[in-house]
Amino acid sequence: MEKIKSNTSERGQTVVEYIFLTAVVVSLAVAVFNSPVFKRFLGKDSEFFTALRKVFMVSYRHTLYESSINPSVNPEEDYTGVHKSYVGDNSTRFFTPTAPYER
Amino acid sequence: MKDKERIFKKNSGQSTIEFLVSFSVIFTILLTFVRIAFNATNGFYAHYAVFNASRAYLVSDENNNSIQNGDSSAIEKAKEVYDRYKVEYLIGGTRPELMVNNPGAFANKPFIGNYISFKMDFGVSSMIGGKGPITLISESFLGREPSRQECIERICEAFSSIDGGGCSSHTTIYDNGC
Repeated sequence: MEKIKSNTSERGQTVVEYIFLTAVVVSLAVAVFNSPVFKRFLGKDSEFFTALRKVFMVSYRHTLYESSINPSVNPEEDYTGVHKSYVGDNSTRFFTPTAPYER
Repeated sequence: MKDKERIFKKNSGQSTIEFLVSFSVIFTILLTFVRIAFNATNGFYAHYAVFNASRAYLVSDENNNSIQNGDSSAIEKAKEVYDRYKVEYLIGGTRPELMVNNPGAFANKPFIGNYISFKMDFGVSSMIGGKGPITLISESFLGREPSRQECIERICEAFSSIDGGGCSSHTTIYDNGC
């Protein structure tokens, strides 16, 4: 009689259900984290953060919000080439010369 | 037995676990954007330090006996001003070296001044946004005023071209009324 009672008791049901639910939630989370949409927006090296990173570097140096400019790591190269703070779109942002410098 | 049942039946702790799981993700996203904002403000501080160093470099003149020595002392003065700001406390790592484009050694005159290049971590987690560093470049090209010695040499050169003598000879300039 005791055996039948223990088999029909509902002890443990909540735990099992919780484990199942957790498995579903975890698999959903993994699916979301691995989805292309998430990776494009928030994942490691995502498109959103890569663009933000690039714009941050360019706007910090040039105070220009232009995604077309590639941030350079070696500043010296720009002092002999074209510096985007100095000349771009046929205008200069320096206040002394009115024409682009000769190279 | 009854105590054991009670332990399994009560739900306290479930909400705490769920809160921690969801909160950690939300908090990481929030911290990422807070970090980006701090990067911007710390970067502005570095800009300010470089700008002030560039101002010191622009006007420094310690009456040296040659143009090169004057420029060298101006570089030292600019570095002294820049070091006072201790930018490494905000941007992290070691203090980036102040680089100087010297008029005597640099061909492109619009870029006479100071700059620094440094790295800062971009985000807080490699899973959200990536944690890799970004390279930031702060520049201030205010130029450099001619030093007193440079003015002396130029005046001497101008006078020499009039009377054909060297810089050691005396020349009198007068207005002849023409």
